[in-house]
Formats: sequence, structure tokens, C-alpha cells
Amino acid sequence: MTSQKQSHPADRAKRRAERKHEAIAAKQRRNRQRIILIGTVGAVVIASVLLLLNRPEDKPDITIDYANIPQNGTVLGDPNATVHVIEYADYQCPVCAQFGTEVAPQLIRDYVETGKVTYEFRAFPFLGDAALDSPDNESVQAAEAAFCAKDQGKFWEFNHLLAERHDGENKGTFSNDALVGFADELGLDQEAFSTCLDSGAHQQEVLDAYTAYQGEGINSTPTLVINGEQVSYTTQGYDLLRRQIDAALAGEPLPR
Amino acid sequence: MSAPRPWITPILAVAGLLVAGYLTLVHYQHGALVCGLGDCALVQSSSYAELMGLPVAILGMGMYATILVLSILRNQAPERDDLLTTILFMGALAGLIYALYLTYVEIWVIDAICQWCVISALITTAIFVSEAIHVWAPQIQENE
Repeated sequence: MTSQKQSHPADRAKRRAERKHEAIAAKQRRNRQRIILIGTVGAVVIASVLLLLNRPEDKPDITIDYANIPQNGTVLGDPNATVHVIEYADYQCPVCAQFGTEVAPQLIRDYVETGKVTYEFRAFPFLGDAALDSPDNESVQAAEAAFCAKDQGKFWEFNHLLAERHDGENKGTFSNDALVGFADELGLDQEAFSTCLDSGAHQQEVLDAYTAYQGEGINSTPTLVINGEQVSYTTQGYDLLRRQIDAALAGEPLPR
Repeated sequence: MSAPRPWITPILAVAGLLVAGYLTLVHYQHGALVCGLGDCALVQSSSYAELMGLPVAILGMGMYATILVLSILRNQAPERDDLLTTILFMGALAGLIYALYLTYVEIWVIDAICQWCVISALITTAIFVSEAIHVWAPQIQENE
């Protein structure tokens, strides 16, 4: 006699219920595994497609040969051009760096090289976290360094390199050593450059200009001024700027 | 009870929809981009903020809207639980991977943090956790 035959009907019912319960649990385990498997594979595929699509478009690869453009210090372009664009910028400002690497090269290629526009850079060093006259103020030091490069006729090359190398604020990206390294990269006379930077040869000039610009009402960067009219750099980027310059060239009111 | 907490995912999806809607508005406002107003403008204007001409924020709205509809549907039609849960789990995990990628881009590539983008990433993470709990939670009820 097996124990099964002896078992109480209630026990049998209980075992049946247990088996049924286990069968359902097993089915649910399989379901769960299927959901996780299909879900994970699908999710990875979807995410991969999105990641591939989101890869930033290659930035317009524009190499400007500054040496071939007429220039007078921090003013680039034909002095007879009818439209004058001024950019107030802090080398540590991330939006300025974006403007310098993505918009300025197009502006120079389309309007400055063609003699229609002069483009002037004005340093507005307000983001440094050390005293303005401290050698640790990276905004002021970067501006001074660009002036030291100007002494050697390479302001615009240095200006562009600073925008390219921007990487956060007040964390040593534009330390004096780094700035001297940039000068070396551009083939400047390193000793003259170091002397210029270390002696603060252009400090007064940079700070006086900064004070004057504040007096003009500049309080953020980048601020653009087209033929005396202040405009904002917006998320429309170069599109809006181009329309504004075209309007200025045609003598029409600037679009906003 | 078909899910332990059936309304968590829909509620999170509504919150995500609001945040993504706000970010879409900001993206289309063409606001001035300057330093001193925080980093959101920079993140929103970076080349990563669009995907084939469509703002990423709109993509986020689409994801939250889909999750909202499907999770409500699941509450109404428990017999479709397996299919809907598979899709929701897939969507939530894809959203989580993408949100992690965008946060990585903010921190390491653009070097700027947009707080509403981070909040959206947190909501996406919470939706994934809610869905993972739904998948893992035992749901034996037929014979009890």
C-alpha cells in the first residue's frame, strides 16, 4: 500500500493545489524571464539607435588662415568694411567658447574674409574667482596672455586656441603654465611671452578696458554689438547672427 | 491585484511629461545664451540637444506619453499584462540607458549641468525601478 492511497482527500486536494501553484509559478518564472530577455534586448537596440542618431554632427571644419586677413590688434578684417561686429567675452565662459569655436569661424569665413565686416574681440574677464590683479585669476590671465600673443602678431590664433581649449571654469585650464604651453604650441617666442605674462605687462590695459566696458553697460558674455547696437547670442546661433549682419549690410533694422 | 502598486508608473510618467514639456518650451524659446544665467541654456543649445532636428526634450515627451498610456492600459486590461509589461520594461530601460548617456554628456562633454534634465533622468530611473519591481514581484493570485 502506498501512502498515496492512504492519504486523506483533503491532503490530495492540498497537493493538487500545490502542484497547480507550482505550475503557475513556473509559468510566471518563464514569463518573467521572457519579459526581461525581450525587454533588455529591445531596450539595448532602441538605446543604440538613439545614441547613434545623437552623435553630434561634425562641426563645420573651418580653418582660418588669420595671417592672410588684415588685422589691427584685436580688430580683424578690412578697415573699410561697413559693418563692425564687437564680441565681449570671457575666455572662461562656456558659451563664449562655443561661440568662438562654432560661430566665429563661420562669421570670419563668410563676412570678414570677404571684406564686408570687421570683427573685434573685447575681453570682459568677470568669471575668475581670484582677485582681478591675482596671477590666479584665470579670466584676467587668459586675456593678458592673448595680449602678449598680440605683441607677437598672433592674437587671433591665440584667441582661437583659448576657445578650443576651454574646459570648465577656475580649475587651472588657463593657469600660467598652460598659457605658456599654448604660446609654445603656436610657435611664439616663449621667453618673451613668459616675461610679458609674468610681469603683468598688459594687466592695467586689460583691467582698465574691463572697467570701461562695465561702464558701457556690459554685464554678461558673450555680448555682441553690431554697428553700435547690442544684440544677444541666442540658441539660434549663427542663423540669427547671419540675418542680423545681412540686415546691417543692407542698412535695415536688425532682426531679433 | 495585478500589480503591487499600479499607479506609480503612470504618476511618474505624468511628472516626466511636465518636465519634458517645460524643457521643450525652453528649447523653442530661443532665449539669450549668456554666461551668468546658469548652464541650462548651454546644455539646451548644444548639438546633443537635438536628434535629427527634433529636440531631445520632445523625444522625452513622447516616451513619457507612451509609458503613461500603456501603464494605464495595463491597469485596465490585466489580461494583456505580459505584452504591455514587456513593452513598458523595454521602454523604461531604453529611457534609462539614454538618460544615463545624456547625463554623461552633460558632465563630461558639455561640462554643464541642466537641473531639469537631471530631474527628468531621475524620473526615468524611478520609472525603470517601478517597472522592474512589477516584473520581479510575484503575482500568484489565480488559485488563491
